[in-house]
Amino acid sequence: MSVSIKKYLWLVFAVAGGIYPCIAGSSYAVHIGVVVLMFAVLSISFDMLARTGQVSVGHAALFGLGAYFAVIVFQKLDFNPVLTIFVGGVLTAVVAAGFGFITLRMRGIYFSIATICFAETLQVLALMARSITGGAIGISVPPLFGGNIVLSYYFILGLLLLAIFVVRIIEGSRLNFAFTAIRENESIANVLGINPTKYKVLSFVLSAFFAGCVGGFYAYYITYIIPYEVFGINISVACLVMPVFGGLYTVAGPLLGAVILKIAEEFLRTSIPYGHMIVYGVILVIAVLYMPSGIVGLVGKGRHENRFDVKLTTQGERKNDTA
Amino acid sequence: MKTVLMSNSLPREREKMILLEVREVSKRFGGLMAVNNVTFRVNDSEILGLIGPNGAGKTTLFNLISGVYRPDSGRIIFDSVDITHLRPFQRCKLGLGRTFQITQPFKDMTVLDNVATAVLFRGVDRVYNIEKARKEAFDFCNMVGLDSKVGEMAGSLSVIERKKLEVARAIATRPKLLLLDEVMAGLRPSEVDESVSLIRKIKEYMGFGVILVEHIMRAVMKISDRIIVLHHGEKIADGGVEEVANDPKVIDAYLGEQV
Amino acid sequence: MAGLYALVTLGLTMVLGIMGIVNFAHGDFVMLGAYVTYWAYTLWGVDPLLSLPLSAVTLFALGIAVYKFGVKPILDAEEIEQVLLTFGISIILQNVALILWKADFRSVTTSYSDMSIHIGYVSVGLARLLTFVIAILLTLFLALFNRTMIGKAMRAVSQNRKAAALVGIDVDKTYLIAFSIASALGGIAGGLSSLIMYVFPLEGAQLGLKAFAILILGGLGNIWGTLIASLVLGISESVVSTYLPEGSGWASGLSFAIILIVLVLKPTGIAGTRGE
Repeated sequence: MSVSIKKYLWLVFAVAGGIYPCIAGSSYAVHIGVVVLMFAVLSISFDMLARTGQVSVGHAALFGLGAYFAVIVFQKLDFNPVLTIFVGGVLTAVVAAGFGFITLRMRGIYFSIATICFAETLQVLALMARSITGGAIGISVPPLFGGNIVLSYYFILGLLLLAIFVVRIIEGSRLNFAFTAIRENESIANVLGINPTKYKVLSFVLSAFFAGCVGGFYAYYITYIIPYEVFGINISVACLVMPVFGGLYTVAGPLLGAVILKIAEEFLRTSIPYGHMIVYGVILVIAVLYMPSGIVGLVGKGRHENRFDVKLTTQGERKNDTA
Repeated sequence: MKTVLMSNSLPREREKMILLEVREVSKRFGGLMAVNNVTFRVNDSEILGLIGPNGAGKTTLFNLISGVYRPDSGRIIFDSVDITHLRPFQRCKLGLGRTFQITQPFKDMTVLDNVATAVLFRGVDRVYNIEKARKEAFDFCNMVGLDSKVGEMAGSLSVIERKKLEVARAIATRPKLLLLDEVMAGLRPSEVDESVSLIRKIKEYMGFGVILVEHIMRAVMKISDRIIVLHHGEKIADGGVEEVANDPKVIDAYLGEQV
Repeated sequence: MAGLYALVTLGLTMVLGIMGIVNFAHGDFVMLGAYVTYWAYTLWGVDPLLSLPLSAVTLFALGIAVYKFGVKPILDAEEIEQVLLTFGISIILQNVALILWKADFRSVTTSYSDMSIHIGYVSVGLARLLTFVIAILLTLFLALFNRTMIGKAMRAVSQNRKAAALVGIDVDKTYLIAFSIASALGGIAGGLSSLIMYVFPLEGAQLGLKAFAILILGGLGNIWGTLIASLVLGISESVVSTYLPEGSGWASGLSFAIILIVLVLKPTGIAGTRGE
């Protein structure tokens, strides 16, 4: 795909995103737009973290934290809701920094397991600490912008643009080299002068800030939060499948993944309950097996070989059929 | 320069800067004493060969020097700085570079970017600008003979090309001391000779000291100014090439392995 | 409960030890085993203990399928892909179960479900005791199995795949058998679980997480460590449940806390190999 076509597509995308509320037929359509944008930010947030090799299977933890922080700050300090969203994001980032430090030495799978535990532990905490969190009943808050869905749309769009902006900055700086090096081989990155701690925690903080903000936004958007929802595995799964499907370590990938999957989900949701989750699972499996670079990889240069072409012969050697 | 006598096989080297000093370093893994009370020095312009039968502890020693492992006891002093408790990236910033026995390029990056990464994060002559880094990286690739491959993905290189990339990446950090870990393993004899002259050339050009771990005796003898022999984690010889080659303890150690 | 946890973890340990892959979907295999037992009981009146072989066989078959299509291709892939794949399978299984059988809690009650045995001061549920015994038996069985040809092959492969291949061991088939047996073990665990706890689609996720806790606590690939860790977890859960106010709520979080704590202190697990 040539550079100019890409730029053109981005422009189309941007314009479409910008004028969407005006051309959308109903407020339901705008709502879908809001949800898509929410998950777009979450996907990018997941991807930010994944760039340093930290695969979070419990991203809902950050989402939920942002939601609760925003809401609790609102309740106790009576700030402006929009402000609380960002405060929530910052607080989430702080917690994430802490979590990032303690998980520094956990490699691969253990890190992922730890993130699941993170989300589940938070869920338990939210359920048990009733006085602060309202327990299983959760907390209600007034709607954002007085319920004006168009304003909400533009808010989340702004957040998305900010996220994209941050990622672009990362990609254009030596941070990108550091992240990729750490992801590929942390020991070697270390030996080459890259401080893994600094960069891993940094990516965690950035990722958490955005996920937290989305959480806070979500709280006001649907006006209430409960532990099962905001810390739920469904959210973690979505955060995971969308960027993987779309293509990790890119900007377009997570976006595409979010847009395609969320819209598809809306159509499916009406037909089969829980159906969309199976689809996510299937898509995840298919993506890992057949499209390791995601959609972006299919359209661009397919860098990784198709897994199925690699056979495990009885010699335990890998034989590549396509070569 | 007065030397503190740790063992009586320390060569008399005067007027040269001591670049690295490893003092009574030991490392144990479970029940195994991988490195046992090893002491030696490296001067700033010499090539030190580190040899020994398999399992002698050479790679462990490298890992200790580069910071991947922490010693159980002893100290490591690099360029007058006690680096015993420093993490690898800090040691890199101070001028310690190394290659790895099993080549590990960053597969998701081009060859050029692999080297550029090293340029971007070293401690000397800091470069923050990506364009500049890539330019310099190209020069390093040139030096090792990889200039035709700079645009390729690092994962697609052949064995000897990967080795060259390891070296390019390591020297791109502008080290004062370069640790080469079996760079020549798996190469054909002609390639080995090529590597020997390449290393010499680069070393002269960039002016750093080298510690070389190798199994290919021919290469080690040719290129080293001095040799250290490890056996079962202990240093059993330390001296000039001739001296060590004829040392009965060394011959014994190697012969013993053949049984 | 400890017995059940141990049983669940057994299969997981096996796969991890031999193939080096953490099977996120193992818990869901257990869940399926539970459902097989449940339906055998509900539809045909088959006693859960008798239908254990059925669960085992079903899961064995499933294991073959999952291995062939899912696991084999990613054996050499980066860890992240392995995580994603098994996680994906887990999601699929969970939600298929959700759709087919709804989220209701079901139970299997037999004539002996409520019986308990009194040992000294403690009364232990018969079903739980049985599970514990079976867990130990199977562990022993596995240990013995290690001595057989196939068992030896598995050990060889787990230590050095290429070397094993050079000696003529069919690596692929060995992995296949290992994975399927592990899945079958999961099925058995599931069948037994139906006697002890409710049967519901998400039990896989729950049990799976506890199995992870045990794995990490007891040391990876270490069969006896698994047993001990299971005991530790089972007992601490009971203690917390009983003695802490609103204990059951906190107890469920215990496994997570354990995982986090252990991982923080020892990022490679208690019996992990030397890191870096």
